[in-house]
Amino acid sequence: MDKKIITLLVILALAASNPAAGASVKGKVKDIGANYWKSGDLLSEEMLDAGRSVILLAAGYSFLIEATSDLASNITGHILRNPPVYSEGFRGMIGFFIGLIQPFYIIAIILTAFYIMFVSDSYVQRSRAKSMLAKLVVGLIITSFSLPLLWAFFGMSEAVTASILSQGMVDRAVEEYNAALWSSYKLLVFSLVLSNLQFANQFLKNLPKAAPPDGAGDTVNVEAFKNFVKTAKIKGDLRRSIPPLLLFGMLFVGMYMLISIRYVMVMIWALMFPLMVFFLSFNATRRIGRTMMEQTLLWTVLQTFYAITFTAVGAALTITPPHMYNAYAIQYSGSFEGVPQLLFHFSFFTGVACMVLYLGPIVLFNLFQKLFPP
Amino acid sequence: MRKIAVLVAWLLLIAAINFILLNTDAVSTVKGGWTTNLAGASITVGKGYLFSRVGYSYATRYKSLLRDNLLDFISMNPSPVGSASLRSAMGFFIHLIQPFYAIGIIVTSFYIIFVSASPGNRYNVKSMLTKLLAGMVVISLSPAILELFLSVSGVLTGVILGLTDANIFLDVMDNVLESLDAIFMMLSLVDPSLGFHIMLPIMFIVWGIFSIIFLRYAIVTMLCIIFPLAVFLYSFEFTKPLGRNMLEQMILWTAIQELNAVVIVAITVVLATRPENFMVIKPLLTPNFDLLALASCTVFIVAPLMVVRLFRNFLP
Repeated sequence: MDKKIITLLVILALAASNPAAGASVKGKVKDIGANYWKSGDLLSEEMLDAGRSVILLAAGYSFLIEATSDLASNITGHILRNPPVYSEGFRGMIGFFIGLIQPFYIIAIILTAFYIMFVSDSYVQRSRAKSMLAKLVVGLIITSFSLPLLWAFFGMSEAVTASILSQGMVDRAVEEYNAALWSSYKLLVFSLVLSNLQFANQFLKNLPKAAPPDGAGDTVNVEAFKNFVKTAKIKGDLRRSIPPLLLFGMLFVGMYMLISIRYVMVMIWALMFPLMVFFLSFNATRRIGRTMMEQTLLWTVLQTFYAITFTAVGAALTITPPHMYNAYAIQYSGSFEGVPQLLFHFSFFTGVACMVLYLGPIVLFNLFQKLFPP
Repeated sequence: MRKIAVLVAWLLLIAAINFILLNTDAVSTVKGGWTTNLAGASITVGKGYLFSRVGYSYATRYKSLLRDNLLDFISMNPSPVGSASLRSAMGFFIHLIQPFYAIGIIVTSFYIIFVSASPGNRYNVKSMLTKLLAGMVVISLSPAILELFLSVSGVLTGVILGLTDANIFLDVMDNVLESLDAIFMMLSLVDPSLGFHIMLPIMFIVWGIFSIIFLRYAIVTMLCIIFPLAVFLYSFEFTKPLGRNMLEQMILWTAIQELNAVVIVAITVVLATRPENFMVIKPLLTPNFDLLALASCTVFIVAPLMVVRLFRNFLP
C-alpha cells in the first residue's frame, strides 16, 4: 500500500514535468469548465482544501449513516445482551474455576466435621463450627450449580430490562441522540464551509452576474456573497473542524463504549462467580466476597439502569412543550443578504439528553456501591 | 526503521522534483500554474502521510516487544530471595525493625512478670507478646515468605493463562490498532492536526498495556521492600490501620497478575461467543470499527485500577 502511493506521487510529479502531457491536460481542463476554471486553479491550495474537506465530510457521512442506523435498530438488543453462559467457551472456563474451588470446600468440610466430632469442647465453639459447616455445604452446592444460577440471574435482569424498555419511550430518546450526532455533523459541515470560503470565492469570481428571477423578494445575491467573502478575510484552515469532530467522536464512542465495557466486565465477574461464593463462605474473606458480589450485581444490573435512563429521557422529551424545546436551542437564524439561512438547530434538551444518557447509568452505578451491609 | 528510511528517501526525491518544478520556467511560464500547484499538492499530501507513518511508528513502538512477551510480562514477579538488591533493601528494613521488636518483647515480658495486676490486663499483654513474637518471626523470614507467596501467584497465573490462547487477545489488539491506523492515516492526509487526536488512543492502548504491567511490577517490588515495616505496623493497635492498608495493597497488587490472566481469558470467551456484528460499525468509506475489541483493550488497562480502588478494608 505504501509503495503504491509513493509510486503514484512520483508518476504524477513526472507527468507534470512533461510539457506535452501538461499541455494536453491543460487543454482538457479548459474544455471542462471554460468559464469557471483557469488552468492553474485545479490544484490550487483552495481546491486541495475543498477536496480534503469533501473527503472528510463523505467519510463522516458514511460513518454517521451506519452509526445512526445501528443505534435506531439495535440499541435495545445491545442493552439487553448478556454473556451466553451455556456457550462452549464459557462453560469450559467456568468449569476450570469450579474444579479449582471444589477440593478446597471438601477439605474444609472434612476438617470442620473432624473438629466438631473430636476437638471442640465448649458449646459456643461447637455452635460456630456447625454454622461454618452449614455455610461450607451451601457454598459447595452453589458453586456446583454456578451455571444455572448465572443463567437465572441474567435471565431475570434481561426480563426486567425488557419490560422497562417496552414502555415505548426508547425510540424518542434514540431519536434525540441521533439528532445530536447529526447536529455535530452539521457543525463539522459549517466549520469546513468557513474554512473553504476562499474556494467559494475562487469558484464565484469567474461566474457572471446572476440576474434575480422575476417577482422574487429576497433572492440569491451572488455579488453580496462575493463581497462578503472578499471582506471577511477568513483563511482556510481545516483545523477549525477539530472541535466538532471531537464532539462527534465523543458522542458516538461514549455511548457504545460503556455498553461494550459493561459486557466485558459482566463476563469477567461471571467467570469469577465460583471464587466469589468461596470467599463468602469464610469469615476472614467475607469482605472480599461481598465486594465481588456487589460488583457482579451492579455490572449486570447496569443494563436496567440503561433502560431506566433511556425511558426517563424519552418520557421527559415527550412531555416537553414544543415551544420550549425550540426556544431553548442554539440555531443559526442570521443570513447573508439574500443567502438562505443555514439549517442548524441544536436544542439544549438534546444536549442534556446526551449527558444524561452518558452519566445517568454511571451515577446510578455509583449510588448503589456498598449496598450490602458490612 | 529501514521502512521509514526508504519512505523518507522517496519523499525527499519527490520534494527535489517539486523544487525543480517550482523554480524553473522550462515547463510552465505561468506562476501559480499546474506544476506549482501540483508541487504544493503533493507536498501537502506527502506531509500528512509522513506524519501518519512516523506517528503510528512512535505510538506503537513497543508493540512487537509486547506481542512476543506478553505472557512472560504478566507472569513476572520480583524475587526477594533471588535478587541481591531486593534482598539487601529488605534487609535494611529488617535490621531496622528487629531491635524494636526485641525491645517490645523485653518490655512486655517485664510487664507480665513484675507489673501486671488484673487478669484482663495480663490477658491483653500476653496476646500482645504472642503478636510480637509472631511478628518478629515473620519479618525475619519475610524474603522467604514473600518468595513463596509470589511463586504461588505466578503458578496460578500460569495455570489460568494456559486455559486459553493468549494470541487471540494479541490479535484483537492488532485489529484495533489497524482500524485506528487506517482512520489515523485518512485524517492525517486531510490534515495532520486532525490525525493527531487518533494517535492518542493508539498510544493509550500500546503504552497503557505496558504501563499497567510494569506499574504492577514496580509497586509489588516497592511493597516487598516495605513488607517488614507493614508487619511491624500491623502488630500494634494504634498503627494497625496503616499496616493493614500496606498489607492489603501487597495482596491486591500481587493478585492483579491473576486478574490480568482472568481478563485475557474473559476477552477470549467474549470474542468467541459474540453474536455477529455486535458492536461493529461497517461504514462504506471508512474502515470497520470494532467497539467490543476496543472495549476489551480498555478493560485490560482499566480493570486493575478499578479493583485496587474497590477492594478496601478486607483484612481484619
